[in-house]
Amino acid sequence: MSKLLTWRDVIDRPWPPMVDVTEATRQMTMKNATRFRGSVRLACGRIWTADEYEKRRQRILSKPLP
Amino acid sequence: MTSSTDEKWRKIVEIHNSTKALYLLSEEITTELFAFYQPINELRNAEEHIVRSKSAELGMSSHGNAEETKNYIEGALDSALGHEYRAFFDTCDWLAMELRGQIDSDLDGYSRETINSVLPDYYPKTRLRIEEISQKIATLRGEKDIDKTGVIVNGVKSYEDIIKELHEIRKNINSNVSRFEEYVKNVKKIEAATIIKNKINEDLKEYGPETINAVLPDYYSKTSPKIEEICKKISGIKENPNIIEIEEYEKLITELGAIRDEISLRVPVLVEHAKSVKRDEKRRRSQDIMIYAVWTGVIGSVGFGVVWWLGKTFLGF
Repeated sequence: MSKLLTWRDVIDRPWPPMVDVTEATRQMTMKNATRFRGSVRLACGRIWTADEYEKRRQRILSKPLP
Repeated sequence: MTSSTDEKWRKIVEIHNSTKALYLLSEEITTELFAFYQPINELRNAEEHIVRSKSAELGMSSHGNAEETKNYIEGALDSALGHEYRAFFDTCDWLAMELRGQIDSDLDGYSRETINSVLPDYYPKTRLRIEEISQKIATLRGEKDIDKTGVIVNGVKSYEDIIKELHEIRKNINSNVSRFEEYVKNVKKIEAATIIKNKINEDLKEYGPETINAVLPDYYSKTSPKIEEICKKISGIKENPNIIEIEEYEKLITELGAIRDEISLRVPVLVEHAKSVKRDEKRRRSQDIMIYAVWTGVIGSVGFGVVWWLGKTFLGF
């Protein structure tokens, strides 16, 4: 069974990898926003998901300027 | 701390604050007020390495002898620097993408003629520069390598400078958006002038110069030259839309509109005049035919009389 480690145990351990922001992440963040202080944008779900950001990036950079 | 460690800290502080400044700007200018969390993730990882480094420096964690501890601290700071660097480039990438998108959005829907008239430098200089900047960003992104510390800081400075330049270009284009609208309105006014002139031509095309002269005695001497003068002025405005004030357009259009109103009010008179001219012509033609017939009758009768007299006198009819 997993146990809570002390700070000395974790000092050289990496953080858990941060997974891509998805629509599910956004919905969960918005749902729990009332329980936490923090960014208004996060609370309102105004964050790019990884897919949205990449699609937007590709669209903007591939479009020739007028 | 060694001078080498100090140097790493200086770079971290410099890059971190550059990232922060650009991130704040990105959040501010993003039109949809969306945030992008990839750079924040990199900062979280940088913080992890900074904490490790500081814990070793304070003796809170053990990493062997003094030399090994020093190496550990420097290694952790290098890793922190690498994450700070990635955070910086992710933020720059985001900001550059947003700025380019906004430039595109500002110019979207306007013709090349409109853009060229309002921003004469756009096609010969600015657009080329934006493309150069995009290529430069791609090159710098390709060069980013955490092992080449010199490249990192130089890359940061170059990237920061070109982002600033792109931001200035965007501000300049954005500040001219109202002028695009004004120009489009002016072009519409010019088109309106052409429509008015065509309507005048339409009103008069069925009538000959005599009829027009009879009903509108000033048309050829004053009105027509005036119309040409107004249209010429409007063509001049089209060529230099930034110089002539909008009031000038309105004045000319109003004047042309008044001329057209005046002519269209006289159209029924023109119609009536044309009809009366036709009636007169018909009557004159009838009279001509009658005179011809009478003269033909008279000449015929006289001729017949002469033939009859000659016959009677010389041939004994």
